[in-house]
Amino acid sequence: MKFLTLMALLMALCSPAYAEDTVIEWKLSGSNFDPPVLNVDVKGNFTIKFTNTNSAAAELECKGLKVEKPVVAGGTIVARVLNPKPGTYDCVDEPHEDVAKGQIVIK
Amino acid sequence: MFATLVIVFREVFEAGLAIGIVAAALGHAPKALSYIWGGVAAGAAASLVVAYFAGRITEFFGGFGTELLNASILILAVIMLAWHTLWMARHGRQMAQDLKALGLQAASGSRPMLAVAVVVATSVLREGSEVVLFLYGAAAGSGATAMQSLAGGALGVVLGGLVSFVTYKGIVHIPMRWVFSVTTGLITLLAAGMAAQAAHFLQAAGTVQVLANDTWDWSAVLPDSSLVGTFLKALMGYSDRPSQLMLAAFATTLVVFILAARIASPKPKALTA
Repeated sequence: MKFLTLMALLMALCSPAYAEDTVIEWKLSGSNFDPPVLNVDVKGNFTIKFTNTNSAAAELECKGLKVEKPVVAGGTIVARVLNPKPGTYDCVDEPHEDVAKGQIVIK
Repeated sequence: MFATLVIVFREVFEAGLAIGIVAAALGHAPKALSYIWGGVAAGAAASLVVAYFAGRITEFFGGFGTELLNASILILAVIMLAWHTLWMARHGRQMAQDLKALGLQAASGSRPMLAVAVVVATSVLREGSEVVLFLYGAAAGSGATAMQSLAGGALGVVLGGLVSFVTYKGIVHIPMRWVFSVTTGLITLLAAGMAAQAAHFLQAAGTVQVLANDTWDWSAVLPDSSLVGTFLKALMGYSDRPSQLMLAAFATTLVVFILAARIASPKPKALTA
Protein backbone atom coordinates (compact mmCIF):
# COMPACT_ATOMS: atom_id res chain seq x y z
CA MET A 1 0.00 0.00 0.00
CA LYS A 2 2.80 2.36 0.96
CA PHE A 3 4.57 1.50 -2.30
CA LEU A 4 1.44 2.28 -4.33
CA THR A 5 1.01 5.59 -2.51
CA LEU A 6 4.64 6.46 -3.20
CA MET A 7 4.29 5.56 -6.89
CA ALA A 8 1.07 7.60 -7.18
CA LEU A 9 2.80 10.56 -5.54
CA LEU A 10 5.77 10.25 -7.89
CA MET A 11 3.52 10.06 -10.95
CA ALA A 12 1.52 13.05 -9.74
CA LEU A 13 4.75 14.96 -9.33
CA CYS A 14 5.96 13.98 -12.78
CA SER A 15 2.94 14.13 -15.02
CA PRO A 16 1.82 17.73 -15.25
CA ALA A 17 5.24 19.35 -15.39
CA TYR A 18 5.93 18.95 -19.10
CA ALA A 19 2.34 18.86 -20.32
CA GLU A 20 2.46 22.54 -21.27
CA ASP A 21 5.52 22.25 -23.54
CA THR A 22 5.14 22.63 -27.29
CA VAL A 23 6.00 19.27 -28.88
CA ILE A 24 8.02 19.28 -32.09
CA GLU A 25 8.52 16.08 -34.06
CA TRP A 26 11.80 15.05 -35.62
CA LYS A 27 12.86 11.85 -37.35
CA LEU A 28 16.04 9.92 -38.13
CA SER A 29 16.04 7.78 -41.28
CA GLY A 30 19.34 6.19 -42.17
CA SER A 31 21.83 8.95 -41.52
CA ASN A 32 19.38 11.71 -42.43
CA PHE A 33 17.50 13.90 -40.00
CA ASP A 34 14.04 14.71 -41.28
CA PRO A 35 13.84 17.67 -41.64
CA PRO A 36 17.60 18.32 -41.79
CA VAL A 37 17.07 21.68 -40.10
CA LEU A 38 14.41 21.85 -37.42
CA ASN A 39 13.07 25.38 -37.11
CA VAL A 40 11.68 26.18 -33.67
CA ASP A 41 9.65 29.30 -33.12
CA VAL A 42 8.25 28.95 -29.61
CA LYS A 43 8.62 30.90 -26.40
CA GLY A 44 10.14 29.01 -23.49
CA ASN A 45 10.75 25.29 -23.04
CA PHE A 46 9.82 22.82 -25.75
CA THR A 47 9.87 19.06 -26.21
CA ILE A 48 11.38 17.15 -29.14
CA LYS A 49 9.56 13.96 -30.08
CA PHE A 50 12.26 12.02 -31.89
CA THR A 51 11.66 8.85 -33.87
CA ASN A 52 14.44 6.51 -34.91
CA THR A 53 13.24 4.61 -37.98
CA ASN A 54 16.49 2.64 -38.25
CA SER A 55 17.08 -0.97 -37.27
CA ALA A 56 19.90 0.00 -34.89
CA ALA A 57 19.82 2.06 -31.70
CA ALA A 58 20.61 5.76 -31.98
CA GLU A 59 21.31 8.60 -29.60
CA LEU A 60 20.03 12.11 -30.15
CA GLU A 61 22.74 14.47 -28.97
CA CYS A 62 22.52 18.26 -29.15
CA LYS A 63 25.34 19.42 -26.91
CA GLY A 64 24.39 23.09 -26.88
CA LEU A 65 20.87 22.24 -25.77
CA LYS A 66 21.85 19.64 -23.16
CA VAL A 67 19.97 16.93 -25.03
CA GLU A 68 21.53 13.47 -24.90
CA LYS A 69 19.18 10.52 -24.99
CA PRO A 70 19.38 7.04 -26.51
CA VAL A 71 16.55 5.67 -28.62
CA VAL A 72 16.09 2.01 -29.46
CA ALA A 73 15.72 0.70 -33.00
CA GLY A 74 12.33 1.82 -34.34
CA GLY A 75 11.60 3.65 -31.11
CA THR A 76 10.47 7.15 -30.18
CA ILE A 77 11.72 9.32 -27.34
CA VAL A 78 10.84 12.71 -25.97
CA ALA A 79 13.52 15.15 -24.83
CA ARG A 80 12.93 18.50 -23.15
CA VAL A 81 14.86 21.59 -24.10
CA LEU A 82 15.05 23.93 -21.13
CA ASN A 83 15.58 27.69 -21.36
CA PRO A 84 16.44 27.69 -25.05
CA LYS A 85 18.23 30.73 -26.39
CA PRO A 86 17.91 31.84 -30.02
CA GLY A 87 20.62 30.37 -32.23
CA THR A 88 21.70 27.43 -34.34
CA TYR A 89 22.53 24.17 -32.59
CA ASP A 90 24.26 21.15 -34.09
CA CYS A 91 22.76 17.74 -33.36
CA VAL A 92 24.01 14.25 -34.21
CA ASP A 93 23.10 10.60 -33.90
CA GLU A 94 26.05 9.91 -31.62
CA PRO A 95 26.97 6.39 -32.81
CA HIS A 96 27.10 7.75 -36.36
CA GLU A 97 28.08 11.34 -35.63
CA ASP A 98 30.45 11.56 -38.59
CA VAL A 99 27.57 11.23 -41.06
CA ALA A 100 24.25 11.66 -39.22
CA LYS A 101 24.01 15.39 -38.58
CA GLY A 102 21.11 17.79 -38.18
CA GLN A 103 20.49 21.27 -36.85
CA ILE A 104 17.96 23.01 -34.64
CA VAL A 105 17.41 26.69 -35.31
CA ILE A 106 15.69 28.51 -32.47
CA LYS A 107 14.24 31.87 -33.49
CA MET B 1 34.96 1.95 -35.89
CA PHE B 2 36.56 5.08 -34.42
CA ALA B 3 33.18 6.55 -33.40
CA THR B 4 32.24 3.35 -31.53
CA LEU B 5 35.69 3.23 -29.92
CA VAL B 6 35.35 6.80 -28.63
CA ILE B 7 31.81 6.29 -27.31
CA VAL B 8 32.59 3.02 -25.56
CA PHE B 9 35.91 4.33 -24.20
CA ARG B 10 34.17 7.35 -22.70
CA GLU B 11 31.41 5.27 -21.10
CA VAL B 12 33.85 2.69 -19.70
CA PHE B 13 36.17 5.39 -18.37
CA GLU B 14 33.29 7.25 -16.70
CA ALA B 15 32.31 4.08 -14.85
CA GLY B 16 35.93 2.99 -14.33
CA LEU B 17 37.00 6.24 -12.69
CA ALA B 18 34.27 5.93 -10.04
CA ILE B 19 35.12 2.27 -9.49
CA GLY B 20 38.85 3.07 -9.25
CA ILE B 21 38.23 5.70 -6.59
CA VAL B 22 36.04 3.51 -4.36
CA ALA B 23 38.38 0.54 -4.90
CA ALA B 24 41.31 2.70 -3.77
CA ALA B 25 39.30 3.76 -0.71
CA LEU B 26 38.82 0.11 0.24
CA GLY B 27 42.57 -0.45 0.29
CA HIS B 28 43.43 -3.95 1.41
CA ALA B 29 40.17 -4.64 3.23
CA PRO B 30 39.36 -8.37 3.19
CA LYS B 31 37.09 -9.47 0.33
CA ALA B 32 37.45 -6.00 -1.27
CA LEU B 33 38.02 -7.53 -4.70
CA SER B 34 34.99 -9.81 -4.32
CA TYR B 35 32.73 -6.84 -3.64
CA ILE B 36 34.23 -4.75 -6.46
CA TRP B 37 33.95 -7.50 -9.06
CA GLY B 38 30.58 -8.56 -7.64
CA GLY B 39 29.41 -4.98 -8.19
CA VAL B 40 30.80 -4.98 -11.73
CA ALA B 41 29.04 -8.27 -12.52
CA ALA B 42 25.74 -7.09 -11.00
CA GLY B 43 26.00 -3.79 -12.91
CA ALA B 44 26.77 -5.59 -16.17
CA ALA B 45 23.80 -7.96 -15.69
CA ALA B 46 21.52 -5.02 -14.86
CA SER B 47 22.82 -3.20 -17.97
CA LEU B 48 21.68 -6.10 -20.14
CA VAL B 49 18.22 -6.04 -18.54
CA VAL B 50 17.90 -2.23 -18.85
CA ALA B 51 19.11 -2.31 -22.48
CA TYR B 52 16.62 -5.09 -23.28
CA PHE B 53 13.73 -3.11 -21.80
CA ALA B 54 15.06 0.33 -22.88
CA GLY B 55 12.14 0.92 -25.24
CA ARG B 56 9.61 0.20 -22.48
CA ILE B 57 11.46 2.09 -19.75
CA THR B 58 11.54 5.30 -21.78
CA GLU B 59 7.75 5.16 -22.17
CA PHE B 60 7.13 5.42 -18.42
CA PHE B 61 6.25 8.75 -16.85
CA GLY B 62 5.10 10.31 -20.08
CA GLY B 63 8.28 9.42 -21.95
CA PHE B 64 10.73 10.39 -19.23
CA GLY B 65 11.27 6.97 -17.63
CA THR B 66 14.94 6.95 -18.68
CA GLU B 67 15.65 10.28 -17.00
CA LEU B 68 13.87 9.23 -13.78
CA LEU B 69 15.66 5.87 -13.74
CA ASN B 70 19.01 7.64 -14.14
CA ALA B 71 18.14 10.14 -11.40
CA SER B 72 17.10 7.30 -9.04
CA ILE B 73 20.31 5.36 -9.72
CA LEU B 74 22.44 8.44 -9.08
CA ILE B 75 20.61 9.34 -5.86
CA LEU B 76 21.03 5.75 -4.62
CA ALA B 77 24.76 5.95 -5.37
CA VAL B 78 25.06 9.27 -3.48
CA ILE B 79 23.33 7.72 -0.44
CA MET B 80 25.68 4.72 -0.57
CA LEU B 81 28.73 7.01 -0.84
CA ALA B 82 27.45 9.00 2.15
CA TRP B 83 27.10 5.79 4.16
CA HIS B 84 30.63 4.74 3.27
CA THR B 85 32.08 8.20 3.91
CA LEU B 86 30.49 8.39 7.36
CA TRP B 87 31.88 4.97 8.21
CA MET B 88 35.31 5.98 6.95
CA ALA B 89 35.18 9.17 8.99
CA ARG B 90 34.57 7.10 12.11
CA HIS B 91 37.12 4.37 11.45
CA GLY B 92 39.30 5.26 8.45
CA ARG B 93 41.98 7.37 10.05
CA GLN B 94 42.46 4.80 12.78
CA MET B 95 42.61 2.06 10.13
CA ALA B 96 45.21 3.87 8.11
CA GLN B 97 47.40 4.08 11.20
CA ASP B 98 46.82 0.57 12.40
CA LEU B 99 46.63 -2.21 9.84
CA LYS B 100 45.70 -4.69 12.53
CA ALA B 101 42.62 -2.61 13.30
CA LEU B 102 41.79 -2.62 9.57
CA GLY B 103 41.65 -6.38 9.58
CA LEU B 104 39.57 -6.56 12.72
CA GLN B 105 37.06 -3.92 11.65
CA ALA B 106 36.57 -5.33 8.19
CA ALA B 107 36.37 -8.90 9.38
CA SER B 108 33.71 -7.94 11.90
CA GLY B 109 31.56 -6.89 9.00
CA SER B 110 31.08 -3.35 10.25
CA ARG B 111 32.43 -1.76 7.09
CA PRO B 112 29.63 -1.03 4.62
CA MET B 113 31.04 -3.20 1.82
CA LEU B 114 27.57 -3.54 0.36
CA ALA B 115 27.47 0.25 -0.12
CA VAL B 116 30.68 0.03 -2.15
CA ALA B 117 29.32 -2.85 -4.25
CA VAL B 118 26.13 -0.86 -4.94
CA VAL B 119 28.15 2.22 -6.01
CA VAL B 120 30.20 0.03 -8.38
CA ALA B 121 27.06 -1.65 -9.75
CA THR B 122 25.25 1.65 -10.33
CA SER B 123 28.33 3.12 -12.07
CA VAL B 124 28.47 0.16 -14.45
CA LEU B 125 24.69 0.23 -14.97
CA ARG B 126 24.58 3.95 -15.82
CA GLU B 127 27.12 3.65 -18.59
CA GLY B 128 26.74 -0.04 -19.45
CA SER B 129 23.18 -0.05 -20.76
CA GLU B 130 24.10 2.50 -23.47
CA VAL B 131 27.18 0.50 -24.45
CA VAL B 132 25.05 -2.65 -24.75
CA LEU B 133 22.48 -0.81 -26.90
CA PHE B 134 25.11 0.55 -29.29
CA LEU B 135 27.07 -2.66 -29.57
CA TYR B 136 23.89 -4.65 -30.11
CA GLY B 137 22.95 -2.19 -32.85
CA ALA B 138 26.40 -2.55 -34.39
CA ALA B 139 26.27 -6.34 -34.22
CA ALA B 140 22.81 -6.35 -35.84
CA GLY B 141 24.33 -4.71 -38.92
CA SER B 142 26.00 -6.71 -41.58
CA GLY B 143 29.40 -7.22 -43.14
CA ALA B 144 32.63 -5.38 -42.52
CA THR B 145 31.02 -2.30 -40.95
CA ALA B 146 29.45 -4.38 -38.16
CA MET B 147 32.75 -6.13 -37.49
CA GLN B 148 34.63 -2.82 -37.43
CA SER B 149 32.13 -1.32 -34.99
CA LEU B 150 32.34 -4.34 -32.71
CA ALA B 151 36.14 -4.25 -32.87
CA GLY B 152 36.02 -0.53 -32.01
CA GLY B 153 33.70 -1.29 -29.08
CA ALA B 154 35.98 -4.05 -27.79
CA LEU B 155 39.00 -1.75 -28.09
CA GLY B 156 37.06 0.97 -26.27
CA VAL B 157 36.33 -1.42 -23.37
CA VAL B 158 40.01 -2.43 -23.15
CA LEU B 159 41.35 1.14 -23.38
CA GLY B 160 38.74 2.51 -20.96
CA GLY B 161 39.52 -0.28 -18.49
CA LEU B 162 43.26 0.31 -18.88
CA VAL B 163 43.06 4.06 -18.25
CA SER B 164 40.79 3.44 -15.24
CA PHE B 165 43.26 0.88 -13.87
CA VAL B 166 46.17 3.31 -14.29
CA THR B 167 44.15 5.96 -12.41
CA TYR B 168 43.41 3.45 -9.63
CA LYS B 169 47.10 2.53 -9.41
CA GLY B 170 47.98 6.22 -9.24
CA ILE B 171 45.67 6.73 -6.27
CA VAL B 172 46.82 3.65 -4.32
CA HIS B 173 50.45 4.68 -4.73
CA ILE B 174 49.83 7.87 -2.82
CA PRO B 175 51.70 7.69 0.52
CA MET B 176 49.66 6.03 3.29
CA ARG B 177 49.38 9.20 5.36
CA TRP B 178 47.67 11.00 2.46
CA VAL B 179 45.60 8.24 0.91
CA PHE B 180 42.73 8.56 3.41
CA SER B 181 42.31 12.30 2.79
CA VAL B 182 42.71 11.93 -1.00
CA THR B 183 40.15 9.13 -1.38
CA THR B 184 37.70 10.90 0.95
CA GLY B 185 38.09 14.09 -1.10
CA LEU B 186 37.64 12.25 -4.42
CA ILE B 187 34.57 10.36 -3.14
CA THR B 188 33.07 13.66 -1.94
CA LEU B 189 33.62 15.20 -5.41
CA LEU B 190 32.21 12.06 -7.04
CA ALA B 191 29.06 12.23 -4.87
CA ALA B 192 28.59 15.96 -5.46
CA GLY B 193 28.90 15.39 -9.22
CA MET B 194 26.38 12.55 -9.10
CA ALA B 195 23.94 14.77 -7.19
CA ALA B 196 24.36 17.50 -9.84
CA GLN B 197 23.69 15.00 -12.63
CA ALA B 198 20.64 13.67 -10.78
CA ALA B 199 19.37 17.27 -10.57
CA HIS B 200 19.87 17.60 -14.33
CA PHE B 201 17.85 14.42 -15.03
CA LEU B 202 15.03 15.58 -12.72
CA GLN B 203 14.89 18.88 -14.59
CA ALA B 204 15.04 17.15 -17.97
CA ALA B 205 12.07 15.00 -16.90
CA GLY B 206 10.16 18.07 -15.80
CA THR B 207 9.91 16.76 -12.24
CA VAL B 208 11.74 19.78 -10.84
CA GLN B 209 11.06 23.12 -12.52
CA VAL B 210 12.84 25.54 -10.21
CA LEU B 211 16.38 26.97 -10.63
CA ALA B 212 16.42 25.96 -14.29
CA ASN B 213 18.47 28.90 -15.62
CA ASP B 214 22.10 28.36 -16.61
CA THR B 215 24.55 29.51 -13.97
CA TRP B 216 27.23 30.25 -16.56
CA ASP B 217 28.28 29.20 -20.06
CA TRP B 218 31.78 27.77 -20.38
CA SER B 219 31.06 25.88 -23.60
CA ALA B 220 33.54 28.05 -25.53
CA VAL B 221 36.32 27.59 -22.95
CA LEU B 222 35.90 24.06 -21.63
CA PRO B 223 33.19 22.12 -23.49
CA ASP B 224 31.73 18.89 -22.05
CA SER B 225 32.91 17.02 -25.12
CA SER B 226 36.62 17.90 -24.72
CA LEU B 227 39.05 15.44 -23.15
CA VAL B 228 39.38 17.49 -19.96
CA GLY B 229 35.60 18.07 -19.92
CA THR B 230 34.98 14.32 -20.18
CA PHE B 231 37.41 13.64 -17.31
CA LEU B 232 35.84 16.34 -15.11
CA LYS B 233 32.35 15.07 -15.94
CA ALA B 234 33.33 11.56 -14.83
CA LEU B 235 35.03 12.85 -11.69
CA MET B 236 32.66 15.60 -10.54
CA GLY B 237 29.70 15.78 -12.93
CA TYR B 238 31.13 18.75 -14.84
CA SER B 239 28.76 20.55 -17.18
CA ASP B 240 29.78 23.53 -19.31
CA ARG B 241 26.35 25.10 -18.72
CA PRO B 242 25.17 23.92 -15.30
CA SER B 243 21.70 24.96 -14.22
CA GLN B 244 21.34 26.75 -10.90
CA LEU B 245 19.80 23.57 -9.46
CA MET B 246 22.78 21.47 -10.59
CA LEU B 247 25.16 23.89 -8.92
CA ALA B 248 23.00 23.97 -5.77
CA ALA B 249 22.91 20.15 -5.65
CA PHE B 250 26.70 20.00 -6.13
CA ALA B 251 27.46 22.60 -3.44
CA THR B 252 24.95 21.18 -0.95
CA THR B 253 26.27 17.63 -1.30
CA LEU B 254 29.85 18.88 -0.97
CA VAL B 255 29.07 20.80 2.23
CA VAL B 256 26.93 18.01 3.72
CA PHE B 257 29.62 15.36 3.08
CA ILE B 258 32.39 17.55 4.55
CA LEU B 259 30.34 18.52 7.62
CA ALA B 260 29.01 14.99 8.21
CA ALA B 261 32.50 13.51 7.97
CA ARG B 262 33.84 16.13 10.37
CA ILE B 263 31.05 15.53 12.88
CA ALA B 264 31.34 11.73 12.63
CA SER B 265 35.14 11.79 12.94
CA PRO B 266 36.26 10.85 16.47
CA LYS B 267 37.73 13.73 18.44
CA PRO B 268 41.44 13.38 19.11
CA LYS B 269 42.03 12.43 22.72
CA ALA B 270 43.55 15.20 24.81
CA LEU B 271 47.10 14.56 25.86
CA THR B 272 47.44 14.06 29.56
CA ALA B 273 50.62 14.84 31.42
